[in-house]
Amino acid sequence: MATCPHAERLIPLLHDGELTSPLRREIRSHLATCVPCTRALSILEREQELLGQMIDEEIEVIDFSHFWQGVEYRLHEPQPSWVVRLRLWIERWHLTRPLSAPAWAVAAVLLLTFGVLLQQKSATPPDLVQLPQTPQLPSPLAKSPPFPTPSSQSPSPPDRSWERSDLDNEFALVSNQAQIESLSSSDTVAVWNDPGNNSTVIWIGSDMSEGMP
Amino acid sequence: MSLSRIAPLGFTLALLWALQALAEEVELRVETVLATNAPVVTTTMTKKFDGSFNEDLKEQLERTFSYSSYQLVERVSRKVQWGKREDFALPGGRLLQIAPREFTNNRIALQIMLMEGSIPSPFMNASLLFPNHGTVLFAGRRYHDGVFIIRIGATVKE
Repeated sequence: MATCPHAERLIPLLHDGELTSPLRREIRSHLATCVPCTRALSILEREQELLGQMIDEEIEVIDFSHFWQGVEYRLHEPQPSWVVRLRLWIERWHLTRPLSAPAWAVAAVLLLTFGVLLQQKSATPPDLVQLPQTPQLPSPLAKSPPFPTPSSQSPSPPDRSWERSDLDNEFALVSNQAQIESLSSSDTVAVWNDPGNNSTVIWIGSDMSEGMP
Repeated sequence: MSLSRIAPLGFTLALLWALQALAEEVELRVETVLATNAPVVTTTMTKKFDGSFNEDLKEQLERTFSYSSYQLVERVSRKVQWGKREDFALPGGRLLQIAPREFTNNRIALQIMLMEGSIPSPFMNASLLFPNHGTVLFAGRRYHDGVFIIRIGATVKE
């Protein structure tokens, strides 16, 4: 029996409409002269026809008379409570993905560790823009006694005086309200604290107006 | 109750706890006040405080400064996650950057930077610790005929 290389490769594609237009035209003109390809295409068409008949026969057997009633019933069917659905979901989950108790325990420990790390909140702050040539408060301030906490405040009246420590045109006060870890500025800075009203004021600028503390 | 039932329960609790830890944040409040020595005159009366001042802010300003009038220019409150930097635009083209660092021993650590200029350049950088619900005041920058007072507060829900 005569064969053609197109019969196996290209004729099924032609039958399924998978060929591009130029190739389809070429194969169509080839079909006019090639008996094996014409036979292969006929077989494919006959197979499809038989398959379609078989499906139609199967559908005719199915009883669709109660189809819409069934749809309506399912639409109005009362839903089980969320507890029942949750239990069913867990049971199904257990069946499909069984996890042993040690696996659960390991996952819980990992989560707890993750939570502890988050709780520490020791996240480094994002890099703020660095001050260009900003003079840090000189070391004498850093060596000053630690700032007392509010609980250790003495009930002294508000001290409205400036405790100046003239350090290269900067002066500062130790605060017992806010604890200053570091402070730098391109301008004159003064820190003032009033234990009486628990206020810490950071004054930036050499403009000492009348209303300042 | 068997171990196979306790373990998933423990996992769920740990998951909830981790999610709660993930969602923790700090509330930052920035109140900008313009203080002047010229009273704010309205049609009916002369006021010392102009704007919706809180009583505690009024009291703090009165006890700390001796300006003759205060005008509340802006009040902003935002919830920020730890370690994240938040920008606050201030009147007069200034910019305030606050990065909450940590919360330990009931004290909140903040990194605060103030910037100004058309291309904002920093003029103050501070690292502060203050009690939960506490505030700190920044002042001294001139604006029109007065001086800006910026009150920064931070609160952590415990």
